[in-house]
Amino acid sequence: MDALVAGILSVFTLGPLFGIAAGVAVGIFMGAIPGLTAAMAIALLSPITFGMEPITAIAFLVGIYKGGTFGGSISAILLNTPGSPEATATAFDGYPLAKSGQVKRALQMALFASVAGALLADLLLYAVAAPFSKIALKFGPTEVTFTVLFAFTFVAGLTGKSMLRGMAACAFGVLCAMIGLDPMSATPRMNFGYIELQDGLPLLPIAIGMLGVTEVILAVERSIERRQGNNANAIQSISETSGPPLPVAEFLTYWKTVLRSSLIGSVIGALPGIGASMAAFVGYGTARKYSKTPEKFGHGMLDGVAAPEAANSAVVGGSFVPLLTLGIPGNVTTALLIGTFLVHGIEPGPHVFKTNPTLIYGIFTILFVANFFNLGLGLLGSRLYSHIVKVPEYASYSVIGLTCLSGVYASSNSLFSIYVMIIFAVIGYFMKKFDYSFVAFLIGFVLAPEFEISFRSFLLVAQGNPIGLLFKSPIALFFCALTLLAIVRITWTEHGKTKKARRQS
Amino acid sequence: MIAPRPIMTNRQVVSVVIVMLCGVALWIIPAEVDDGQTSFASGAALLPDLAVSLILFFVLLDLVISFARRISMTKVLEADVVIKRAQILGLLTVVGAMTVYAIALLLLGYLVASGLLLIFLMFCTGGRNIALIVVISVMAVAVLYLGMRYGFGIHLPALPNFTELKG
Repeated sequence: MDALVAGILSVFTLGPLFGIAAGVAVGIFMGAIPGLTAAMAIALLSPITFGMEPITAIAFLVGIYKGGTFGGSISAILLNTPGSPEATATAFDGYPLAKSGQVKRALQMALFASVAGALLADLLLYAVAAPFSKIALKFGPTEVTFTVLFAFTFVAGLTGKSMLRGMAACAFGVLCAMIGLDPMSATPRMNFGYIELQDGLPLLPIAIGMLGVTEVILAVERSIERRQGNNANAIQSISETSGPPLPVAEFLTYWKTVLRSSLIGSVIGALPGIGASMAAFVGYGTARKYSKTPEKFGHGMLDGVAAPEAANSAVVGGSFVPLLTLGIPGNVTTALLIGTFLVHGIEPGPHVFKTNPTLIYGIFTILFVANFFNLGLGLLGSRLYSHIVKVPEYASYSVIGLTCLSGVYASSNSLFSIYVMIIFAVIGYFMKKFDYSFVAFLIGFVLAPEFEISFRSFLLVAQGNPIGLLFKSPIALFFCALTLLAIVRITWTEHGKTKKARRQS
Repeated sequence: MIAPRPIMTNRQVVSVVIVMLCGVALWIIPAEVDDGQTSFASGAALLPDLAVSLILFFVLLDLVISFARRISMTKVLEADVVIKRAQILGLLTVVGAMTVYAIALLLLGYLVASGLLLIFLMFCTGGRNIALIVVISVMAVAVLYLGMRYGFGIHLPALPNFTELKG
């Protein structure tokens, strides 16, 4: 109890509070720029924290992590270009809301859901950090294989118009992730002689190409159609108005979605290697599943903004469970944080709860307090950001195009990344036109490395009897059953839709 | 007069192209992957082969279903995708401009190449007020460059590389 009080009090001093505020501001700004992520900001700014007090340095970096998670949603909503990969799902409904003149509502829903989801997750972190670490320890190759397989099926089936095309897109994502080095033998694989492909295809150029550049191509296409006399695409800005704000009372009516997504994000965050992107997609898919109007998702539903934002923000709190209790970073950002912790003489792991409990409770408090800074700075910023929508289409999309190119080039200082972005912009354009879900593609691409190691280890451990090994793991068996159930349910729903369309025609 | 129905829709053409590309991929993968001697088929080629096979299976199934719907007049046909001059021109314009930008970036420097790209893109997306286009281009490039340079410490090649220009 003394450690708890001392931990809380250690944060409420000038240094840590200023660190949180500065970190959140930098995080929001970096997160909002496509191509630049919170992880990159932490990597760039870690050196300046080396001279700080440990608690102030952690406050600054945690602030960046928190701010960056929300910041990604700003460009996702305003430009249909997620500032960070975990904001991809936010763009599905956030951008249509912005286009229909509800910019402020979409931005504020993202902010409120993000803060509420993170607050719930941080409270959970206080309560369940130690017990949950025991469950996470039980995840071996078999369990991870079937958990990821379930994620593939769930996302591929729910994010497109056709499950078959969604599955094909997901498999294509997995195929693209296979380029680089074989993770088990470290031999080059499918790099076609390009040294730049040794590390695999980079995620950010792919995501930015498929989402941001595709929008620029569509804007040019609309302009050409206008010149050809098709008035259906009359010149327009993203939206004529930023629209009314979102009253808090209205936000509270979405409590079920926020609570559900926050729980999803907390659990996924605590599982190493899965991360905020998957939490956002699963949160989105679940919100759609439980919605009374699932067909409206993708066309501007506030639920579709609240769910991924609450889920991806909850991952921050969740990801500190394996980080602090086991010393295992669950994602790139926490991996970078571990590096900074070590510089400050903090070695995360089970023993740190005994050796330095004040610091642990201080970190919990920083996570909690950062949410309020996120809320304050986000509210101030949302008024500023919403003016972007009044910019004419030709100016906004052209600047998006240049921002995509600059961000991608700056993130790697390599022209190769720009070429990758252009190639995937073309692929993304055709995927969008022909209903091959790029969300399924991205989830396949992101989770494939983790899936491959687990799947191949599972086959090796099974010694030719994978079914036998599956039946030995209740967790894997549970996710296997869920996968089959998802396939049957989604196929049945699609069949029902076809029958309905036939009756109507 | 009703226009004759094409043999294949654009969706079906794309599905056929994907099937053909899968065939090429299955042919290329063995040459690009050192599968080694791993037990229980868990070698380096396992997932690439599996992914291509799954794409092939799902796309073929989709193709068969769409042909079946086309033959059976009682079933609802999925609306086809329009690919005309505007779509092809839009794609080629942006892809072409960005490729030229990537090549020009090191030769002309970030400031000049980005300014020219912005002017071109704004013209292509419907901007006609030349003065406004130039002002927006200069401001956007300056903000991005200074933000990268002093905000994040990222040094973009600002000016033309005369050594490269000389060859």
